Amino acid sequence: MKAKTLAIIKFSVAAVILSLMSFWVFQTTKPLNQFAYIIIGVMLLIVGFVIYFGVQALRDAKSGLNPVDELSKKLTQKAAATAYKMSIYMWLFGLFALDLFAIDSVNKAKLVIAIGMIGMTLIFLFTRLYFSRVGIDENQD
Amino acid sequence: MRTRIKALRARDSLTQVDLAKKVGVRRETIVFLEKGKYNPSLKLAYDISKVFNMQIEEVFIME
Repeated sequence: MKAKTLAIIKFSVAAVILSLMSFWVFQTTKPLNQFAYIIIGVMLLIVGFVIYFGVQALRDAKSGLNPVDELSKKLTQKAAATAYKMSIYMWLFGLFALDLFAIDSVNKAKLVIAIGMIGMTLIFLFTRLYFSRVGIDENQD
Repeated sequence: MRTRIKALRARDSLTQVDLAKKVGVRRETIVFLEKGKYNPSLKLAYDISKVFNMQIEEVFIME
């Protein structure tokens, strides 16, 4: 995939997230609670990451470099594997931790799914950024 | 694994970006290869060796 196409896809994803979030904020009739503000903060963080990776792809395009190579694919795979592995514990923790609060089962299910999905996305983005900084030392056992 | 990429780049007056362009990877890949923090695929090792007109085992040294 060409670097410019990749950057356009990334910027489009960021635009879609921002528009959906704005739609949700301006259309909701209930006043925003603390949980809503946390969700907005986390979504803005995710948009920030997407824009950062988009800018990186554009920079590669400008320098005439390939934006997706074997190392970047490996880094993405390792970050995805880490996010999946950690999410198993996160889902379990969410299920049991929410039992401590008086929340009805429908809202509890929604919360567990929301926490799990957003948590997985954040872990993926942070580990992807971390691995792209320190690399993956394959010589270590 | 150790590599001689940095020394060979200096010999041929190539920057990391030049080498990355020649073998079709990102600059970061060359950085990690030089630090010995990434084991390349056989194809990439072959492509890099070809840029320096050397055998793979002359560029990548197993320890």
